[in-house]
Amino acid sequence: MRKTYIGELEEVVLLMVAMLQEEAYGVAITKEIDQQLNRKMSVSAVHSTLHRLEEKGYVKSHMGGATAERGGRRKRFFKMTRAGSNILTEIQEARNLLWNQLPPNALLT
Amino acid sequence: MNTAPPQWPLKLLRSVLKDELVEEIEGDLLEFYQEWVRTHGKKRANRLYLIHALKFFRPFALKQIFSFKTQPLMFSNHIKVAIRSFARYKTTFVSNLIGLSFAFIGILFLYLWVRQELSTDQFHIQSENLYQLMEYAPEGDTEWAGKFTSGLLAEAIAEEMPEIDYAVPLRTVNETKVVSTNNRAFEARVVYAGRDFFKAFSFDLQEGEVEGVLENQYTMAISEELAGRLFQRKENVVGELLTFEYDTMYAVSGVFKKGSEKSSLQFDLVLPFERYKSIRPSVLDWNYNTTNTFAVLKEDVDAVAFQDKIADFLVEKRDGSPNKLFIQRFEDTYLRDAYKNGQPSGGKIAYIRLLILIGVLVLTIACINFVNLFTAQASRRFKEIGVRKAMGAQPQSLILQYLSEAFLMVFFSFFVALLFLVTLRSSIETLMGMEFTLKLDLSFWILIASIIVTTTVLAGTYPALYLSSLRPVNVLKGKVSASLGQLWVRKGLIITQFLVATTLILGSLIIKRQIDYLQSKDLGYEKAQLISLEMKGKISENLDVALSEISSIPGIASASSIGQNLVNGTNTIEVDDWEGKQTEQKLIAEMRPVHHGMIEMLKLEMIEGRSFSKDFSTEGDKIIINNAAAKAMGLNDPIGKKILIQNHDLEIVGVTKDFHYASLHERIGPLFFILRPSWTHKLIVEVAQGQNQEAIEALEAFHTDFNPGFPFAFEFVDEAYNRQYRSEQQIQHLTSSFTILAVVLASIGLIGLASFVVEKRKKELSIRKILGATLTENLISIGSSTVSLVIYASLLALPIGYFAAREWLQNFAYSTSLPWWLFGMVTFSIFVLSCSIVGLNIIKVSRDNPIAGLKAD
Repeated sequence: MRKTYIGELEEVVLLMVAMLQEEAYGVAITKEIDQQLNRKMSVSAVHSTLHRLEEKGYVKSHMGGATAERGGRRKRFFKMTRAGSNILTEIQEARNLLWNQLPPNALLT
Repeated sequence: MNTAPPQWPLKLLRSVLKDELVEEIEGDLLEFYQEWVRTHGKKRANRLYLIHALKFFRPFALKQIFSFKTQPLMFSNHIKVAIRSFARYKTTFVSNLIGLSFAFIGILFLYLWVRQELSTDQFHIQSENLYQLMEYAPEGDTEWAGKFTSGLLAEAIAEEMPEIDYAVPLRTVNETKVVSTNNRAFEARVVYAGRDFFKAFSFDLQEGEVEGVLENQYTMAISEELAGRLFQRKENVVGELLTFEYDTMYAVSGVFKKGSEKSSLQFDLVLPFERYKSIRPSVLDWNYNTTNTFAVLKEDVDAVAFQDKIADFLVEKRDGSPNKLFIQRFEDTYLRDAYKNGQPSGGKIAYIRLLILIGVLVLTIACINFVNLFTAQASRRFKEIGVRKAMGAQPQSLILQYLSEAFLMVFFSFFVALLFLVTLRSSIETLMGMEFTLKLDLSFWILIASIIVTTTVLAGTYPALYLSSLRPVNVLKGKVSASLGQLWVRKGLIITQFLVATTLILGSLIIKRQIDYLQSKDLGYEKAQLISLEMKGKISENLDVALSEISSIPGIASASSIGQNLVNGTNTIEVDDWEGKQTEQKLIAEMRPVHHGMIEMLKLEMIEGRSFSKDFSTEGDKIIINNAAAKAMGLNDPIGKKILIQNHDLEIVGVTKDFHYASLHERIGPLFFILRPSWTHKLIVEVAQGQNQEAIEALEAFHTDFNPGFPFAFEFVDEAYNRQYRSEQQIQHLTSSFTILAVVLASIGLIGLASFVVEKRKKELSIRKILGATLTENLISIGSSTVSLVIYASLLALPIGYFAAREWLQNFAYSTSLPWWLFGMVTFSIFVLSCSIVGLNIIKVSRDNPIAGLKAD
């Protein structure tokens, strides 16, 4: 199988899905990215990214229960798949591999 | 608490979003909305809500109208099929290509021309506040508006009106003048301008200061180009000395750059207006209109109120003059150059609108052709459509197929048109007598893109919708016959085409007729053999000697001089008083200072009295008036009456018949001749019949000898006369080219329809032939229905053409007639044209073996 790469934005969103566990849905992810990384994303961009991740098979989703706050509309919750956790691990490992090889003063330019 | 967001964004979203995504997206948006209301308040929240809702218009979330994944594949298939069908039906392809690319070529040139006209004078930074002050006479009969004002106006009005920031007088010298350094001399176009000229107008000063460049009387600003020619360099020329007309030394105080934008003010040399005042003190007279006046208004001035305020400015200055002042933004003066009661009304802009309309019409004709040919051709492809449908092709995919075929066609044609435009530009320029600047900038590409898209949509939609709506079973069984509705559409389209084409033919013939009329009209004076020369240097110093020497040159019949150009020269004065004047009467007249022999040379007919004569010594106190002046002053027996002009008493000695001293747009007004050799500036020479060449050579030899240093520049009065109608001639060129285009396109359309009809009725024709019908009978039975469409169209076109022409001719005070035979001729030639197109098609089929026609299918 051809290896699928993910972009930086996808990586961030995927990490959020992993972090938020049972509470991973559009609004929560958008807010979390804002608070943790101080990065303003529109909810539509988050949706679009989640959609891509789902197409690539790194997350799967199911509809949750309705809440009054949302005018009775259900949330779509996302959950990371095996493939998702594998790719995150791979990315981290690749990164560590390179970081560990940096000579002592390499970042002091 | 009311925290419900507006409903319509959700409704909109629901209609375009994938059904399975609607719920979660709405939910998320609402959840955010609640929070926004808390943190930002309702108003801001509503806005954020809308913005974020609209941001969901992304590919992933939208309903799939076309299947995106298979699209590239299908599209390449569409292209392939399109190219194959082009190759199979070559005649259709070629006529489409010719038709569309001709139309595009026309449109592109029209665009270049229109843009050039629209951009004229638009480059001045002060445009917002830069106005031209003009004068008009409000009353009915003598209604008149002019761009010339008194040379005193600028200074006086800037002083008295606090709304004006500064005002600039500008005197354009009609003839070129000679400027020279020690070893070089060139002719230059000259203006005298007020000191703030470069502040008001954005002619870029490369050297010298905007303030003070025209401060000193003996300084001048020259164009970079002229500097290059005079000094062989463009920098560091400030301070250099130049001789003007071999007479006065000026120092260069500034160098300006002529921009690439078109300007209605054309000059190479700017001299201070102060200098003009000292050379020609006569400009300092409220009754003498010689100068253009411009004013830059202060930022917050209301132009309308200001115009009302200055309307009567001239009353006290000119002792009760009825003339009023009005203003117009300078950037508008080029295009909106016709006035009624101090308000712009039409002018060149009307021609531009007309031509844009014609362009759109021609493009419409081309689109109609495309639709006709395309549907006709597609009816031969019913089987293909049937198979496609039977195999499960969706209507959308068929629509897309035909649209892409249309697009490809349009694209090819545009490519051909662009090639033409680039390669044949210069020859078309010479043909049309105008210049186009080809700027391939963003707006050009936007235009091209929008034309391609609109043409594709216009031309492709109907065929695409029609063809995709056919029922597959019927199509495959061959049961589709042209429905009544479809036939009507096609007939309607042909009628439209010929309506437009015939109207255009009529229009351009009438324009041509009017221009011929203008150029051949008896003007009341003889201009055929006259040459006009500038009076310069020694010639003006020793005018009498020069005149007598010129007269003695063989081949020259006579020579004299006059103050203004014979054609369209202006020099208006206000008459103070005359014998028998009623108190309320006012008179503004054209004044022509002349030398002896001028009136005779023009072969003006004297109604009463005599011309100026050398036999009398006090001719300076005499005046000759034209008939219009006698009528305007209400003089029944004018000879011997006195007229008071600028404190001079002048006695009327003669009355000439009226003649056209201005363009035929204007009525003949009052005109005076006075004998004042020293006020004359133009040498007019009459060349003997048939000796033009020799006479001009001899004249040049005399000029070089008598007036060394001044270039010999002359022009035939005839040519100058024809030049007045340049804008009409341009319109004529443009309309006649578009007419030819329209006729060609409409003919292509008719050929298409005729061949379609003939093909459809091939069986009928064959049966008729077998039963013994002659060719003529066939022609009549089959051809009449098509030809009659064309006849209806031209009958509709006649009244439209007639009324449009009458409207246009009202722009001229003197206009040609609209004879019935012109309309008859146009109808007849359209009839002959359509008969021959339809006839040829029928003959072609009739000559085939009828058996073949019956066997087919």
